[in-house]
Amino acid sequence: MSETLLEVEDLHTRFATREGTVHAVEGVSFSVDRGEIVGVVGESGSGKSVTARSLIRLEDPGYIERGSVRFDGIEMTDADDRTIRRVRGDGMAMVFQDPMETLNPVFSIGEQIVESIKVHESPEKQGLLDYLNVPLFSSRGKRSQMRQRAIDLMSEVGIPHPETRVSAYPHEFSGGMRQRAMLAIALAREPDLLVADEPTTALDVTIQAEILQRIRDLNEELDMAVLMITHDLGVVAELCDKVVVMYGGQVMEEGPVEDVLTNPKHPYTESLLGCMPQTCARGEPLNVIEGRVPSMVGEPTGCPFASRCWCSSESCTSGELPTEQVGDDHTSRCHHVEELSESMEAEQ
Amino acid sequence: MKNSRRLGRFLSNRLNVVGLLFVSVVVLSAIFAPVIAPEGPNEQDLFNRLDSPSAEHPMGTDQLGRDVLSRLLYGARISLQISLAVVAITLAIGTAVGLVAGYAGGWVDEALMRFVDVLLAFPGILLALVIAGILGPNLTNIMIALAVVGWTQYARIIRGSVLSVKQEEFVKAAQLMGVPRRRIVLRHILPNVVTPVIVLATMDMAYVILGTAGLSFLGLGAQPPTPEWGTMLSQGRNFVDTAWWVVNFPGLAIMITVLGFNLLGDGLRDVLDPRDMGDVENKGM
Amino acid sequence: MTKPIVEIDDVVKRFPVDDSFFAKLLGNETYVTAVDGVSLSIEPGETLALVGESGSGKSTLANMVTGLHSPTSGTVKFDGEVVGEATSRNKETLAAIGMVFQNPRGSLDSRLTIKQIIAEPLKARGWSAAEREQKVESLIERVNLSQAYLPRHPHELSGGEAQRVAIARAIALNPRLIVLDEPVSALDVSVQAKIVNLLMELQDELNLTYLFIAHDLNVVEHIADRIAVMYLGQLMEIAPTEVLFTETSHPYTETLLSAIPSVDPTKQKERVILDGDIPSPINTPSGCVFHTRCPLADEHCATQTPAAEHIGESTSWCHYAAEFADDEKRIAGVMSDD
Repeated sequence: MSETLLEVEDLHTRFATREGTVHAVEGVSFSVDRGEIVGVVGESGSGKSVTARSLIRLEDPGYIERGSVRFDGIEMTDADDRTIRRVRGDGMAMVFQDPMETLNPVFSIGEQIVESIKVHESPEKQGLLDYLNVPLFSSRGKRSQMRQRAIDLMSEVGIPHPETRVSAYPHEFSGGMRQRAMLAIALAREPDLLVADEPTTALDVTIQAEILQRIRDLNEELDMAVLMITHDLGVVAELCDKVVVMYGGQVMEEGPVEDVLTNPKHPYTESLLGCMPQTCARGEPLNVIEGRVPSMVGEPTGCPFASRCWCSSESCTSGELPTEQVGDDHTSRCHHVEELSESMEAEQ
Repeated sequence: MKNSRRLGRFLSNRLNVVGLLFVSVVVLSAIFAPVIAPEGPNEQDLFNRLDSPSAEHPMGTDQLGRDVLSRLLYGARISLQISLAVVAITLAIGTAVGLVAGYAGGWVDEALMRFVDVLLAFPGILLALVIAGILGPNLTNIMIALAVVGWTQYARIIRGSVLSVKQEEFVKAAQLMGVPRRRIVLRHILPNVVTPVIVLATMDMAYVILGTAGLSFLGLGAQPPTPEWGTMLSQGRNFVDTAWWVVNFPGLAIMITVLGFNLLGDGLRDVLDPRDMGDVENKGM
Repeated sequence: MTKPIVEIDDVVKRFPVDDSFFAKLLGNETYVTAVDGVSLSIEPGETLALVGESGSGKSTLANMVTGLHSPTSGTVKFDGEVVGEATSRNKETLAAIGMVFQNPRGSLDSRLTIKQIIAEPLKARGWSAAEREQKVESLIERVNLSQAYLPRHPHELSGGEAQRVAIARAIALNPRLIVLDEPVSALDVSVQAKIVNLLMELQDELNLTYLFIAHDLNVVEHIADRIAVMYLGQLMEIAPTEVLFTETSHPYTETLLSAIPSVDPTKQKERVILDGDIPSPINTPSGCVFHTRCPLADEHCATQTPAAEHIGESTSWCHYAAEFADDEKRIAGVMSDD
């Protein structure tokens, strides 16, 4: 078995709001091995994005109530700012859904990549003079070397004509190009783990296909682990080795992608797959999940999916969820795993 | 519930409370001036000229023996009346022009906005000076002078907001349903563009009060013996060496009022921002 | 054959990029050509889907049907009559065409209650308060929401609920055509399924015709009868849904189809990945607009604009449509096994 890079255990992230405490992430545990691509899939309100942000300690305005996030031997939940900065500069990089939020509009793409390279090379030192980039104090050779590295990175992520585009500003880029630029900025730090939060959701399918391809190539070439946060089971099927299915702030099912998507062992995963138009005959009504996403305010009781689940029982509405081993590395957090597999066999 | 939450947020900032307090003091003095003022604003007592503050005259008396406090309280009436009138007029004209220009677009927009540009190209107070100079020095003309310049900024802001709200899908939806144009503008667009203008209007109260005082100080506004703050300053400045209270209290009144309206405007801006209504996480269904 | 409900004839729409006074004076106004010579018709009762990437002009084309834009040249006919911008349309035409937007909350005025929102078209049509009341109640129930929602405001609703309200409003005046601009793209999968079902039910019950704009081909495959594929303002291919998905006759359609991620991880297909971005719509490529990214393009494609070719039930704007449909030159077809 390969080495574990990231280990999340019993993570609880909460938000204090006027309506009460929002339990956005409620006891999430999973792990990512070196070089592995793990997908975290769920609908809006499932807590998947908050989980991702908590890993890299961007959970603000929320707070981590308890649990642990161990990245490469470093405990992130109680690390000081300096350590967190070092991990962000050197180990874990994040790509967001909306690149316009994270790209600085007043710097060229090239400058932002160079900035990222600098952070990677000396995460401790961020002197004012370095920051100002005054030619007098930094050697010309080094600067052109960094610029060249930025151009290389841009071509690596598939930006055409990187030599001319390196001095372009974010607003001159299309959505797909911005997302590639974000990827280049993240890669400049040579991360061991890339956390990608819905990086292709706002893009067209053809562009999405290309970016997913890039991420897969980079994963193979650089042996970079990827944590892919998405709502799209199709993206998971395309890209990931392992998938974590979340609902209501909790992990519902976890396992190898092939197992989970072809042989789901949790009623939520099964229902979600059933809603996809692909799984239904043309013109027929699609399968639906009745009810609505539960409110995350207040202490959760039992399984968050219980009110919408076709096989829920008394035991589902209270107490801790069991973690049932249903296959090799495949777990389902459901009281009714056996009934579920029986009914699925009956269907077949 | 939403409104009570907003009020709570507004009051949680100490500066907002200070602003509200200052403005309330001025407004209450204006309303109740006849009740609380120790004397009439123009009651002279030539035996007690330039008396320093005492129990009888808490802010002293001026060169004609008038009670400074009483004059200040009545002065608040004048300042507030003028600024309310000017802001109401400019707000109405500016909003109307902005709505028309923004929604109609095309040459109407072009013509109206170029006219606004021309007005804005003059230094505002200078233009007001010229107008007050031509029409003669009195309070009505001051109001006209300030209004002529003042509406342009509302028109610009409203037009800008209309241009963006016009692109919103709910406006397009209304157009497609055959909702009459007037109803689209008044019902769908106007309520969505007034927020920044309310904030601006609050701050503008301060600007107008300052403007009125300034023009009066220069002798172009209220004429003696009107108890206007600017006029009082102007008259009292000859005695600044011997009787500090004659100038300092009107100055202080102006400062408190202007500061109060500015703080209030700042507070309103934070509270009225419609973008804070979303939840922490968007809930699906 | 029945008479088409909508006929779009050689429609062109340009938007000015720089039409300032000085640009006009110097004669160098620049334009974006959003829709470039599109002709198609919609039959009563069918669902025609318009698909394409962002910038393909699909929304602009739909907006010319609803009347949010008027064509720069060419005509849009509804029921055989030429229709222009919404403001110049008569009340019957306005009532006969409904519209649902992508962003459910953005298309509802946040300051009105749900009741006022649904009643708005009725009010514009001059219904009395009592008539409106009754109709609004039946409409909200028709879209499977309880009457308890009527006094609420849009921000208290989830995305799916808001989209139901938007649909209720769109069907209020018994329209015959509804233009759906990405109605489910902003929704979660489980919510999307419910809205798709609702739309299909309503179509059956109310005998509606749909013009369905989408970029998600999975949903389109499920709901559409025919699909029109657009790229850079032009039609690439129109075909009945099954035909388009099984016997593609245009390389662009092929790349679009191959880009859809499959939920079945055991069935990995060979993908056609396009290089670069969609070209700028200000200077569209010569010849076939797709030639700059097409894996099959040759010099012929770069100079000659392809004419419509009819292959079986589909119409394709590609010089090599026939060969392509024959599977001879299929890019991924040989390798993919599904």
